[in-house]
Amino acid sequence: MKNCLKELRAEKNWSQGDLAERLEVSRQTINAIETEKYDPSLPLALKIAKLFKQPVEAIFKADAS
Amino acid sequence: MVLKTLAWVLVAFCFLAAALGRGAMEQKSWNGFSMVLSFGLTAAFFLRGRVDDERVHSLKLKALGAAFLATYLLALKFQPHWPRMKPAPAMPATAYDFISATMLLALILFYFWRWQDARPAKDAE
Repeated sequence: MKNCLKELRAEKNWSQGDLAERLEVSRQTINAIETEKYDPSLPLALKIAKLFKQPVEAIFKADAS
Repeated sequence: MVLKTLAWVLVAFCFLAAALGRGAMEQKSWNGFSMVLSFGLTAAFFLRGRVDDERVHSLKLKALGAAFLATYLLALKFQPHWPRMKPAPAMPATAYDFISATMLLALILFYFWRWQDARPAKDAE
């Protein structure tokens, strides 16, 4: 699943650590999501959407395949 | 976190004891160490660490599955009726040995994948 988390984070000038702290996860988890190695769970995806004040589908997009 | 540290201390003690008493280790002594080692490794794997989020749970489950598969295939190799079996070793492996092998492999896989998670993407700026 593709996401624009890195871009959203950059807009706010947050480091991965800052974002991780706000979402109560580890920095490695944020990096794994941004590098598309890991798709977050629904509660985490909703938390991310709430933090950036955007709908979940605007942040996460299913792969074309 | 304290319990996890204690588990690692227990594991280190077992490895040290096994290394020091290598020549003189008898089956009975090794079984005792093997039991403690398997307990220590299992505790080190399952106890909560400093970081315990959903990605950690996901990686632990994946590591456990991969480790079980690998050690199960290894265990098949030690079955006496396996067609191309080598002669049995002087100290045959016990269930505790396989639990130790599984947990050790699971820990290695978990920490390796965790290290990979921390690495930036290949095309990162």
